[in-house]
Amino acid sequence: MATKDRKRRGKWDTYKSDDTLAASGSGGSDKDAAVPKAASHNLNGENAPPATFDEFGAKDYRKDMPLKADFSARPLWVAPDGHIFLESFSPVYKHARDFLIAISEPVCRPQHIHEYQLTAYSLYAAVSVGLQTKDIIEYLERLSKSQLPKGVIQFIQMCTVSYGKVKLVLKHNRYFVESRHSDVMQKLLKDAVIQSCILDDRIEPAQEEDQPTQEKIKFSHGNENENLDKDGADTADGKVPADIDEFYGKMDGDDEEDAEIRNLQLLTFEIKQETIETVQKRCIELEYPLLAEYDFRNDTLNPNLGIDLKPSTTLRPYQEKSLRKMFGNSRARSGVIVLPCGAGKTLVGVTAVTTVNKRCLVLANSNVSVEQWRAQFKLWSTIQDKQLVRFTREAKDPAPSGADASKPVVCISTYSMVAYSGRRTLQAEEAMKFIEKQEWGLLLLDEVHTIPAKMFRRVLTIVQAHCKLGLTATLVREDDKITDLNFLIGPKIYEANWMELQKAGHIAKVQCAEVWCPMTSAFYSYYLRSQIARKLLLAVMNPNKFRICQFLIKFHERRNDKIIVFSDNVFALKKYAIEMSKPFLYGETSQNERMKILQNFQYNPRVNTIFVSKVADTSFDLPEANVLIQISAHGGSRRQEAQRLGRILRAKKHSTDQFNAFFYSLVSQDTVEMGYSRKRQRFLVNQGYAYKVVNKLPGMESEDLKLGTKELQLQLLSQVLATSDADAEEEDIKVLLVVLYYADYHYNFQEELADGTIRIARREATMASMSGGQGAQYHAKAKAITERHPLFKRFRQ
Amino acid sequence: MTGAASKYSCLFLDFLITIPPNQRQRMLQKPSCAFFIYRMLPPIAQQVTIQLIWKGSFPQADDVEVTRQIEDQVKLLEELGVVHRQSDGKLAIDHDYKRSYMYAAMLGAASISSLVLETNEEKRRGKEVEKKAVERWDCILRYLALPSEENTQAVSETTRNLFKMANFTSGDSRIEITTSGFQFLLLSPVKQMWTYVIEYLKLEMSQGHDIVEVIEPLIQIVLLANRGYKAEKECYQIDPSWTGPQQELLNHLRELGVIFIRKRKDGVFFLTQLLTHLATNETIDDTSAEKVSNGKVIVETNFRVYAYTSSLLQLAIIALFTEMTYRFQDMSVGMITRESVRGALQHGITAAQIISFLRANAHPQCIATSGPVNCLPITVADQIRLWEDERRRMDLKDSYIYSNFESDEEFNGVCDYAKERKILLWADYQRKLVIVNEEGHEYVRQWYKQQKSKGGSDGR
Repeated sequence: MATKDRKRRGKWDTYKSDDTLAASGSGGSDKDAAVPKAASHNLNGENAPPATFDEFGAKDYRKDMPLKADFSARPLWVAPDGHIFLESFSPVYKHARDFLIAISEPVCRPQHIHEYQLTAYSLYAAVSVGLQTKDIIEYLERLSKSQLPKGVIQFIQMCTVSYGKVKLVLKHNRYFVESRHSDVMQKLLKDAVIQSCILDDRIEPAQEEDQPTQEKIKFSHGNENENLDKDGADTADGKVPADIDEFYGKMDGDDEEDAEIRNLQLLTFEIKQETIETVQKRCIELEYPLLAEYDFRNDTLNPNLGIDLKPSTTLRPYQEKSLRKMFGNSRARSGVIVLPCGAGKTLVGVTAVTTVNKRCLVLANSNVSVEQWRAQFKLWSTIQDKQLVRFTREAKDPAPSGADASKPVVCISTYSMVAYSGRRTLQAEEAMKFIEKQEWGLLLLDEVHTIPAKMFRRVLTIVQAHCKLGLTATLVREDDKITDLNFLIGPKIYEANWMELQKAGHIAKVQCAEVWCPMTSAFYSYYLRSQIARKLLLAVMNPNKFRICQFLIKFHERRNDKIIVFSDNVFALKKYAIEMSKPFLYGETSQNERMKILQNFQYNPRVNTIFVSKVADTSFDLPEANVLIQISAHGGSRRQEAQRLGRILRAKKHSTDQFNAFFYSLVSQDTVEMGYSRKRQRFLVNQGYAYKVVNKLPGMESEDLKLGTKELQLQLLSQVLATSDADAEEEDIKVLLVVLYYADYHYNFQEELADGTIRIARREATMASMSGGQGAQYHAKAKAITERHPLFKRFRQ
Repeated sequence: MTGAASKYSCLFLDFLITIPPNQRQRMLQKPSCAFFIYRMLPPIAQQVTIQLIWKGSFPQADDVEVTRQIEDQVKLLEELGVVHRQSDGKLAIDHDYKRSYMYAAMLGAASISSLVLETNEEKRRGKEVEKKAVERWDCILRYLALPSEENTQAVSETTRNLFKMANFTSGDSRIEITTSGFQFLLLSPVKQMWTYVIEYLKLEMSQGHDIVEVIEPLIQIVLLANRGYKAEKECYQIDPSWTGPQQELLNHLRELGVIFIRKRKDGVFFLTQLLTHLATNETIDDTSAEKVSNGKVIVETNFRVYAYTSSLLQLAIIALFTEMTYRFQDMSVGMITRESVRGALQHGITAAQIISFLRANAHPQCIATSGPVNCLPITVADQIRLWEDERRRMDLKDSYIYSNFESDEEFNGVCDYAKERKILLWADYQRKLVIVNEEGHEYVRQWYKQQKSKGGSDGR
């Protein structure tokens, strides 16, 4: 990485340099420092017995896992390598599901059998939401069809015993380390580094006097019947083995600490505020990572926002469940909530803000989504305009000053704005000072998967927050950076099941299709001879793809559908859109124009189709859209595919059993696109989506489509062959931004193209236009755009 | 050869067509055979037969489509010798057949058999007959699926010969399964069993035995399936007067698991549930017989395969086209991948066979939620077919490439000549390469010979 970084020197490289890391307090190489050692363990290593293989080449666990007598009533196979298989049709499915989500990572969740995997991270998360080691083992044992393999038990013990014992609590604006385990406390207190951080040498054993009243936090009005349902269903089927049923009740109330542990004395000591980072780091080194909790009810120093959800706002069961996990013991835990796009992440965020009710900073990843957050706050909560402060490149509300400066507000900004380290305007400078000065109650991080860990660290050095909540749809682990986030923000608190939300009608029922477009022979013969960058362009510009795209648009427009066409490749984007006379927007489109196009798309019945580049991948909330056509994409990025699907996932009004949204991915046959496409689909396929392969569209012959003749196709070919260089030039200034912004995208790309990685990696940097890297436009300085398509004039009026 | 290529989708009838007419005629004279043939006929052919027997004619259909169907069926009946076309063009039923059918119809299926029912005594009672029957049949399939020393010992020599004759296995010392063998494994149990029996009859025929002598007791036993089973209580006498080949047949049915004989000296045999497979008319319903029973395979939309079985045989079959990943006691996990399916396709297994196997063996849970067709996700079925199709996209033909020409003239000469002869497939003028089709090579050689006098050589 180091050499590559040097090549792309620019103002952005400060994130890569060591001083940022030092400032963030984690120091040294970021890989080892922030993650406890136990987290690097996995079951494939020393703990798993060497797997034997049967005659078909499968891992043979028959000897390790003798079946119990009543195995058919139990839903799980727990393999010694940490993989867990769950029968979704088992009568105890729902008992097992919530538990497995808490302790393991879902690998795939299609219709009948779900696969999960135990990892160090997932167990860390389990402990941090209040599960105890022995309960995890006990319940897993009861659910399993066979005895738990010894290796798994050891693994769970190793990963959980040291976690969750010590908490970092902010009370009355003083930081305390607290624990009920005296042995752990002794160990910490003997440590020289920690000793130097203790504010008061005395250990205070009895601070019980203000045990927080363990009242449950309620999120909404009248959604209490959820528990009732559950009980009703339980008694209905009598097939549940008694021991599982009995345990389930206990697990469900998991937020209370175990009685016997609670009886232990709570030990606390106070530490100096400026040494928090040091203490956190040291505790991780000692294998006792601190769980950060914010006792916001007892925080008297920071004033309350005084906002609440509107009475009309109701939370869906899964939204409430995710929040219950976050505010489990009437304190706020830091962590990440994973919900599918369109499932109402924003409402979860808004509710979290109203619950904490302190100053809140919301960070989104584009200006458009900042606007959307603002609108959502006004929609769901009783917040007033003056309590909402936007801070973006285009819309800077003045930072509160004078008497207002100390009043609590909700501030919404972008990652790039806060993390920017170049020179700022005076106004921006003031706003930044404001952000730095405040003590935020809650830091809300939208689309948290998009930010690389380093950028995130930079944000953390600037923002002082008691509690951090990350929101995302796709916590896809392509690299270790995402797992770093687990320790920087906190563990995954909740992850919803896409298929179940779809069945319940909370998100749209999407038919996914992969449409195969045969390459024309002229294009293919050039394709075979070209370099990879040109290959991609030729595959996208394939005339058959164009015609199929046009056909699909015509077909769906007749059904009064709203269609978004995605193209990562800007050349193709423009060409397609202009040829079909549709509006398009991409990186260089100004904020103002974007808003106009999006509004027209939403409200103007004559604008049913828009073409967008990858700027619209995330956070573009277009509730009307129900058809998505993807003509070019970013290599094999699973995350992008899921995010794009998210654009049409918002539940549709007329929800029936039928499919009410359509996702087409157009793929040129016999090109690299085929391989990428397969890889892109993996995430969604594992969520239970099925891609239907379409290689013939009936009715295409009778449709009047462009590029029908050989002459026109050859003309297009010559244009493609001629323009690419100029096209690359047009985008040159963004190259740096692109690469850094999508640093982890980039990583995927390398991973997925095992052959010739280096060459391909470089392509990312030099041919941004080809890969459509315009996503980084959020930070590019506004430059006068001289040429503009006449269509936009129409929309301006 | 196997069921897939069956002409009238009933293996027994297909076989009957192939045997010599005089032997077939002898069969038609036996009431049990006549009755059984009727049972195995497709529905329309059954109607035609009944009408001809009782009325001597059958009504013409108005619909062209139906007429065509009837004609097909009549053709089948003619080939079987059940009906004859007379000189005036009218159809008439075979006299022998009519008489034997009427005889059998009057008496009932069970009474026409010469087998003697015996109430079972306590000491000779068959224990776990069903379980043992299934084990027997599995043994035979396992021999085919997983050739090993142990499995070879478990089957009789005749079976080994039979599979070899049927071209299901190859190799003398080391047995290897062939393409047809694989296809056999994927067939439904009904087809598998019939295939086996037919191959056995063919073997008998090739050894010069009287085929009718063997078929008659076979059919009589199969017809007993209708009486219902009281395997624990009822058994039938083995007639000591039976000929060698007839005794041999009994041995074979015992090996198949269709009948159960505790000890030879008991002199009785029991019927088992497997006999239904032979008694099923596949033309009426191909799959319903086993569909309801006990499918064990779940295929998910993400191409995972979960097989609820510990049967080595089932797993071996699934592993033909699946990459197996986990093995638990009661369940195995696998993954259908492009490579694994292509491997199966290369063995000659077709996509349709894989798909029908997965559908026939679908877990009840899948059938309950998605129905008998969609129990295998459509996307998976489509993909398996696409993997098969992609192998067909390329059409390979032999051809000849010429390179290393000594001069431009020589290159141009070959090029022009090939063009003239219309044997040129491709030429690259820069790199000096010429490709001609297979027949063209001879012409080009002759052309070279002619040129040789002027001095030229080639490289191929």
